[in-house]
Amino acid sequence: MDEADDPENAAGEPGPARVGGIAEIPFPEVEVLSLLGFDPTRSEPEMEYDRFGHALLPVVELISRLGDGDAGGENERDGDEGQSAGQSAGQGAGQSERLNAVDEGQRAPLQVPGARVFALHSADDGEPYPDDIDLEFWVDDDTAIVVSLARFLERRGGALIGGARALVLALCNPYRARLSRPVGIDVPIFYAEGDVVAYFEIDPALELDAVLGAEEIRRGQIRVRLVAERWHELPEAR
Amino acid sequence: MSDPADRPSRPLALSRRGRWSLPFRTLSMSAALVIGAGGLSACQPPGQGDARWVTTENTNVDIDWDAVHRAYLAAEGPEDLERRVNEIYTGDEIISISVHDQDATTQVVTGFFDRDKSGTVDEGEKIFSIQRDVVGEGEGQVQIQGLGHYAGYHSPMWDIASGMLLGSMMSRAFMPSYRPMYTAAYTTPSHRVSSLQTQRSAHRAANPGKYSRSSKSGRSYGSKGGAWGSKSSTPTRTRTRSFGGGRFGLGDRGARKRVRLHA
Repeated sequence: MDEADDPENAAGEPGPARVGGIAEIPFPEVEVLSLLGFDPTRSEPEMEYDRFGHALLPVVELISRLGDGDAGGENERDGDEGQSAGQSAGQGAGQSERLNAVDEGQRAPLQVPGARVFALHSADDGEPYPDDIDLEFWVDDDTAIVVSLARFLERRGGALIGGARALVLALCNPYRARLSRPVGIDVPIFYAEGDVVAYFEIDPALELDAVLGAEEIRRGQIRVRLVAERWHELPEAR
Repeated sequence: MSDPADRPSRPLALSRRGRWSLPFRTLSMSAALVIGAGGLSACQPPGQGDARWVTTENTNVDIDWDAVHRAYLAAEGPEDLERRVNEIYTGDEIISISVHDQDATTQVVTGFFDRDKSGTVDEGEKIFSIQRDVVGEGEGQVQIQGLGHYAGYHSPMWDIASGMLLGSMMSRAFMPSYRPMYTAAYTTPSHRVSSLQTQRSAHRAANPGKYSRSSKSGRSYGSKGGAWGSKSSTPTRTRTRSFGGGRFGLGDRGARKRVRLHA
């Protein structure tokens, strides 16, 4: 039995972590490299990563893996199929750049400036929904808080956007849900299909034990990349 | 240039008997000159001979205080600071830390070798302390003091401001809603030492150039120049270094119980 649906645990009854509602889920602003799992000792992704929170990035690159003859390799703008999300955001220039390290068979990155990145997690064995994703927050060793992404964004998203020009959801979407714009968030929203994994391309001149972060990203010395099967854009609200 | 361990001004080792009466960098250069002239043995205590090979503590290895300072500014919390400090330290021991908020403005971090595995700071185990004071709205100061063998080192008073890129351990002190979290001190649990050891070993394996120098115990952590981070006089490297980050899906949740929130 799915414990999340167990009446004993449902309806916001406080668990061991004493999180009584969506508003109480700890969702801190975190230094960007830490948020996305940067570790100077590791070249491979951390598959058991469970940190969550948010950060403002000067720019983040979204990469869609090429599909096998389908549309899977295209960054896609919902409701405007076939257009480049980057071009729609005025980021078309320079996107013919070839990738050199993340993986083979990927299209050029879509650069999203001024992005608020929400680092979130879905469960690999979560419930499939056509238009929503169950989030899990491992708040301690005993408790996995489960909450609908749509509800989380409605309750918490708008207040966290700040001056960001876009919202990027670093969140696996295993059932390829097609999301709708939540109330209260007007900036473009980028979300993925399939697994989402972060990578970092770092200038060799940088000292890895220094305090690295947004300034190095702004200077182009660190490139933060989020790789997925396909990225979607929900255009900004009009 | 990327590896601070490659800085020529840093000494290989400093005499256990010596006290640092000069500013740190000046002394570092002096020590380096001594080593350059006399070799490593010049820094060994007299009469020990091959005993250095069986020494289990090498508190005479250098500590890159600037790196410790940066680690404190960048740390996301005490456990992250432990990891960072131990990656900086080039000796054999594991550095435990204690984080104590003395009041609403002053935090003191003590680094120590938990020799008796008590999980508490004993006076003779201390090797440094870091004091952070919030001195005004959005402003603070940090100073490091060496203790024990490292007594005599006093850092400058570094200014910090809320606009700097800080880890959450530091930045939260500048938030209006800040409440001290460590009025009851956090101290590295003794059971965590082994995981810190494992973590650091992995870091050293991945950064051999950073740990190329012999410690007093005669161990070598790798050869210089084989990895990124080592210096090169030929500016031919144009490739970036790639690192994997996190995946944003969750697998085995172990014993965690799922609790659904609807509102």
